[in-house]
Amino acid sequence: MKIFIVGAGTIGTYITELLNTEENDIKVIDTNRLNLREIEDKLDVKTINGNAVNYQFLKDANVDDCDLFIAVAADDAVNLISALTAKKLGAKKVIARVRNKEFLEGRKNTDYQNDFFGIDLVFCPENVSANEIAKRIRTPGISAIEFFAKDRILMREFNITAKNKYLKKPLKTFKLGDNIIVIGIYRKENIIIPTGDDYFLENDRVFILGDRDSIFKISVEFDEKEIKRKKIMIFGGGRTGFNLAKILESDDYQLKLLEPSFERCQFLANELNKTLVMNASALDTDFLNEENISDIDTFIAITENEQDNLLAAMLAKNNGVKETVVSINNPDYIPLSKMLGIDTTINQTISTANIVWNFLLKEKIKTIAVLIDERAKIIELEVKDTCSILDVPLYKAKIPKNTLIGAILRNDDVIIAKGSDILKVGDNIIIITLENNIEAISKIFY
Amino acid sequence: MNYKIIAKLLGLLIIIIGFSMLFAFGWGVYYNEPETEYFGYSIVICLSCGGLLYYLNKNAETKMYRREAYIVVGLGWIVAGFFGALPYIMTDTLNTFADAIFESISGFTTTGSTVLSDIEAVSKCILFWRSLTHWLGGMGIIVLFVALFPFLGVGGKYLLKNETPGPVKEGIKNKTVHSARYLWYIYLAISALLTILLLLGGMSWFDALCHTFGTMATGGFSTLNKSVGGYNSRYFEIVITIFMFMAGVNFTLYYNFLGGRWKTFFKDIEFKVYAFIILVCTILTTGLLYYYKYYPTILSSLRYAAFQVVSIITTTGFGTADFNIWPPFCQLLFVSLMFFGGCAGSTGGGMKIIRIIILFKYAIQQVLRSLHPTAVYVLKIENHPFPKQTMHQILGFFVFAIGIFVFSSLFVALHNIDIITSTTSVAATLWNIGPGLAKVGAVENFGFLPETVKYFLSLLMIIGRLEIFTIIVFFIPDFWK
Repeated sequence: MKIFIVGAGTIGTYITELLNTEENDIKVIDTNRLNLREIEDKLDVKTINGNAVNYQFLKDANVDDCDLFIAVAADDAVNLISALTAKKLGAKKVIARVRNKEFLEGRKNTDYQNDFFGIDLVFCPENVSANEIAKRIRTPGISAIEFFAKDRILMREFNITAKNKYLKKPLKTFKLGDNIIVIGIYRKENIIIPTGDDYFLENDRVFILGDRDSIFKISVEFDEKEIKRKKIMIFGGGRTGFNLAKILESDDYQLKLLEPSFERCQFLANELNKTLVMNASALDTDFLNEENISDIDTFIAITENEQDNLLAAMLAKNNGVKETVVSINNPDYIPLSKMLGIDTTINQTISTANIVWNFLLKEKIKTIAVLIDERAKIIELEVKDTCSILDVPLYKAKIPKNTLIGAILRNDDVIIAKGSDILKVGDNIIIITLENNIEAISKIFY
Repeated sequence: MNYKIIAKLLGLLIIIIGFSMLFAFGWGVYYNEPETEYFGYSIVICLSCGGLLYYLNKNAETKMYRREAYIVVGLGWIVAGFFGALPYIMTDTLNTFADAIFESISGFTTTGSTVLSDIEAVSKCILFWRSLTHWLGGMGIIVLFVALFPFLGVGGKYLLKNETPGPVKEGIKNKTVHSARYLWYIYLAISALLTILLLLGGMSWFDALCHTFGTMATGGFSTLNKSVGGYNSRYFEIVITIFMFMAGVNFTLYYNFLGGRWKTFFKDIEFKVYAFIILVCTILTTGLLYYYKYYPTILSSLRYAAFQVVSIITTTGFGTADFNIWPPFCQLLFVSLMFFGGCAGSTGGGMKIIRIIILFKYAIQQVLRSLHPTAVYVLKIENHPFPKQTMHQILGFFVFAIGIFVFSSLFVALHNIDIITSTTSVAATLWNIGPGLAKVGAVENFGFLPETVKYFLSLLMIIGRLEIFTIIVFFIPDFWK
């Protein structure tokens, strides 16, 4: 595939990294030579220095015969215009990132937009993150939750304490019920995709997949404190913070939005109706205490500065907040944030890349999520007649090591996969696997 | 300053007043009244004075700015009051100049306070003129003016701004002339509907028209000594209550309603608060009247309470009962309602509901601010940020309103008039209601007041009708620099 990527910033680099496989031929365009040099040092791709809104420039770069054109520069206008130009020149698929929500406002879907004046996909990463956080806030319970299969299947993360009744027993002896499965154990910075012989140890973090009811039932057994979220404090009134507050305003939450810039505060106060906008920084402990931080149920730090986010979340936690959510762009910090006791991390780079990824694999793989760090992935895909393990019970099927078929969604029924289950054409399945297996899996199914 | 255009426009205004007198003159002819001849003289005076003024300045440049607009509107209302007083003087209905001016301005400003003690003894042509001044002043003589003379261009916009009530002036049409015309069409249509309903109830054409004028303009002049109560008809009272209520609503909403956007009616916060206040006050008054056995049944209490509450809050001033003898709570409630008034962009007077809402929200925000010193608050109406400058204007308006009320009450009390009479006469005229309490109560009149007080209250009526700033600006030295 011939791919053009406009913008060599964090997201551009990340997408390049994702797409940089043998069969892909990638060119990265940026106006900034320094950004390009950085990407050149890291990856074997071609870089072109120039402005992507320039028609002649794109023509000279041979955009006309490319398969995919992804515009993720800092400037919305650059992204939209270059994407439109590329489409006009003959690029097969074009994708543009738009950060200013106004472009998408009033349209059906404000997260992403298919066929925006001929652009195949226009998406707003800040809005995606905001929606993702909002979804977690609305689901009761603490710590990470992922949603699959139109939100019918959930994945939850639990801490194993010394009191856990399943401690040190092989998984196959568990009687958790039919609709639930342990899909991952995180121990000493290693992720284990478990088999029936694995067991829990104290201080493990385990990932459990199941339907809604079963997950809530198991939460009680695992002695998780249920959090009823009511009072929410958001630190950072940037685009994500603003979008999040706007989404949450439609529910009955008491929202406080902290933003250090007074001018931005004015904008926020103009636009938001039920949120209390405060011109303050969450790095100020006195302020946090004055605003009764210990009464806050969920503290969400989503400023542009990830160090600030981590620090603010720790301060808040230290002063009695019940739950913390932090936005981190650098994937390297994610394991760290777990160590610091942060309940949920949101990674905008990954969610953005996922949108692009999902778009490319629209027919095949629907959602990709990661467990703790990026090595373990959760994929959702549709079983076609090209699948090589049809009509075989799963325990006999040849699938790569460290791979688990977690759930089958068949005609709107959720089946948690057991060894005796058989895949059928038309099923949607959820697979948990390690990163290096993805290619092998895609060969099995397609 | 372009004095020529001011003179020319005032000339036109006087001509319009002269022509509108013809309608009243017609009734005089119809009833063959002896005063008709003298009434006719006032038409001649108006047309010749206006014509002369217009003729002398007919070549005036139409360029007009804010100051000219202020003068045309401010002076226009005084001139209208003066020429509108001519019929009362010419026909000897009123003896003193002060009385005639008071009655005329009370008509144009839709106040409805009167110096007449026996209304039924007055000739029909005068009564009709009295009510017609209401109707002209209700939607605004300047609005009519702008609607009739498109040559004013942008000057029309300035003129309209100074006359239409309410803090935010948003034209319903892109062009001021079209906005002005539409407002008049709506006004005319609702008036026609009311007239038909009154005729169906058995009122004579004369009475139906006069009461339509009084109702739609939220004026309050009646043709009977006992006001609407004189008919003792449940039908008339219900119809008039409903139309007084309608006249107190922002006319832009009717425009939207007719344009198919009827939902805006129920989204409008001002309309909701207006309806809510009326509902609560009616319930309270009904309850008290029934509890203290003023009326035998709940329904009859409701009948009188609803009429009086709506009449006062819309600043109409019609009466079906003498609330001067009602429980003190009701009296005080009515005095507070006088300050509220109708919605912005209605024909009602008062401070306007929207201003009250904003002042209230502002006050609450100040309290919240002391609780969260770092919080950033923005005042919003229907989730839209309210412009800061307008909010400051409203604060200024409020300060002036209260200041003028206090100062004027003191001024009236200076003439050895009791506290209740002096304060309520000021409130009733400043906010264009009509009757006050005590000696200026619903069944009393303003005739006994000293001449200076009458002149003073006349000025207050214009100040209130033009919402303070338009007149106060003349007293600011900077205006003349």
